[in-house]
Amino acid sequence: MSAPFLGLEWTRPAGAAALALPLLVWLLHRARARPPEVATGTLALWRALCAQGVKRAERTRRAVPPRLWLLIAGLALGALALAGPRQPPRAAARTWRLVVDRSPSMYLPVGVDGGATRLRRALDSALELLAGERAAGDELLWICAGEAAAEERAGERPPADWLVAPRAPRAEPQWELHDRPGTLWITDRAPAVARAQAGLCASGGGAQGGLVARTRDEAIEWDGERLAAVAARAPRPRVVLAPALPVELRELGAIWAAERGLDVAGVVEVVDVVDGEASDVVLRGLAPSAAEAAQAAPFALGRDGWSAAGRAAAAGAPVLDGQGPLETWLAGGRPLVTFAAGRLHCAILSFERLEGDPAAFALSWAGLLDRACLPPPGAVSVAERSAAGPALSAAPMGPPPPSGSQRPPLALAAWLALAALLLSAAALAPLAR
Amino acid sequence: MTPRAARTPPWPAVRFAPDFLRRVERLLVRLAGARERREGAGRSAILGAGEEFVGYRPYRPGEDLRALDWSLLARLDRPFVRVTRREAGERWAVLVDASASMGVGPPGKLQRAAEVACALACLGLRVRARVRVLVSSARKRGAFELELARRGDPAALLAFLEERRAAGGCGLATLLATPRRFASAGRVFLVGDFQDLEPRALFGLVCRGRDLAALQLLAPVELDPPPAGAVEWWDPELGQELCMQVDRAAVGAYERSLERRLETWRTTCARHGITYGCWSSASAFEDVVQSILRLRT
Repeated sequence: MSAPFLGLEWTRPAGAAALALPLLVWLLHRARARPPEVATGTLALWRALCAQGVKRAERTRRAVPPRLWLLIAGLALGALALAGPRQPPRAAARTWRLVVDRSPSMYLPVGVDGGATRLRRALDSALELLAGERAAGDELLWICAGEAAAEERAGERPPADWLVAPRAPRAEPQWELHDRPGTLWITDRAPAVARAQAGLCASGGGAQGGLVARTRDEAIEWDGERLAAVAARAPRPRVVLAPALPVELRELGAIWAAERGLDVAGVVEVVDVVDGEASDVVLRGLAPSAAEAAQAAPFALGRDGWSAAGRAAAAGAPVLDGQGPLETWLAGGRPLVTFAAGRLHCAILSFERLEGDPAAFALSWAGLLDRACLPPPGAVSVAERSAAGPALSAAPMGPPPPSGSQRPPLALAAWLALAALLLSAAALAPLAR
Repeated sequence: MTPRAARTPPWPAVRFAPDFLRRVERLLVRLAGARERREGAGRSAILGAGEEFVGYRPYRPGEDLRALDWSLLARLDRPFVRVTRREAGERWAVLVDASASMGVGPPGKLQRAAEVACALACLGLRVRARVRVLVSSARKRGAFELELARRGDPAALLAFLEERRAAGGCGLATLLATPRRFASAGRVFLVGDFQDLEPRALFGLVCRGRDLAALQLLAPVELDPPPAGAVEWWDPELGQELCMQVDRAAVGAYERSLERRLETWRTTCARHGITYGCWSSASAFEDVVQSILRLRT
């Protein structure tokens, strides 16, 4: 049993009754120190003596000797130690993990007639669910995990940029990695993965028709049931290929772009691809700068049934840019080609020798370009556009308490007892002598 | 601040021991024996300048020649003195201070004063005087009084005195303010601590044919205070208090001051023919009575 008082927890509150002991000591001293009261009929004589200079004793001058103060303090501390004070355990700052699905379907409206996105609806539902589950002091950790490395943010709300559809589509989280207590899945439909400990907030939503893909001159649209090719109304998406790229790659890129219904821009004046902006640039092929190109080094690269040699920037291609890490083709430990959604960095300056099947060379590079190419603006796959079903909500198991939340030991009581012992010893030592 | 007097429980009432009257009787017997042994020693407390002839005794040199029986001297050629007793109609008055300061003790001054007063009253009854006992009071017109006839019952006196309690600020000064209450008394005994009196207050009581005796009683702590260190004195009568260091020096100064005061009483009373004595309330009442009568001899 414990009782909070003075910001401390008292494991033996009855021990505080011992505080009467120092009080008793003080009262006894006070009673003994008080001058005896003596009635007299000759007070006038005494008063006359005082007028003649006989010392008067002020009643307030009964100082408590320091030794008694020490004893009283020691007894008081001992009584407090007897009551067993200790710091109350810190509020268990549990952390709720909210795994947010940022796949393209989450940015589609819930209803067929528009309105809030599935992501917002699922977030609202999740926060409402947590309001009844979390305790004061609990923290929220927002996790966005797709194919790339997980991104984690703490806060009461998810980062605002998460509410905007990423220009590069993200994959659905690997839910099975997040099935643990204190974890809430925020998505639009029940994942296929069996859920044991995590909770779920699914916004649900109906099928959302719209652009699915684009060919050279047509847009492939889905009306909720079937696909239809319609004349493209929007301009063709563009591919930007830097002029400094090897001519072989530029020519191959032009052929690939034409096949994919993309226009090729030869001037690198386009800005970076930004989330939420319906930019028509779906891929940028970037070459080393002039300074980097000045420091060229030979390379030898072979893969997918072809091999090549030539010169490339000695520094290689960047493995990380402002938008995140890039996938890499290595040649002799040097990143020769790196790419991610919407961008491709190529350190190759020129090919001097190409060996192997030319078709293998073309397929290999076309596959690379396909992986790096963004979908056309507004295009979402049929799987993402399909109906998400009804809204779902399931509370997760509570998060485990932090490892450091055990009750603190009675260290305070021990220190108090030690101080009481020392003070009492100091007070009583002169008597022992 | 509440006066101390109001915060102090009242002093205990006067209580006489069960054998008190027997002690008084023994005292009276001793006094009678002493009188007989002292025959011819001159004026006594009880036998003195009265009118009732009780006999003769031999004359001693230095005695007042007016008491000499000249006819007997002529017949027997030996000097004899006429011994008379006070008139049967003589009146005594015993005035007792019962102010709050009389409660100081132990033993309480009022307790001892009551015992002395009772013994004196019994002595008066023994010599067939009418005795009036007056006890100062703050309430009843300044005094409680009891008049005992010549053959009065001492038990009534004891009951009267046992109802008294030291309280208030009215002492002997209050009783002396109304002298007509004992104007006819030939012997007047004042019993108290005299804290509210100055010797000159007694001058008005001295008159021809009246014996006036002043018995001052002080508590042991007033006569001989111990050097007890810090002491908070308080006056139950005034409700005043004084905290002071009572060391040997202070006690010495106090005793000298008290002695001067008592000496003033002694000399002043002697000069005006007033019998005066000061005793501790710890003294037995028999000693006090015997002493005052001896002083009157």
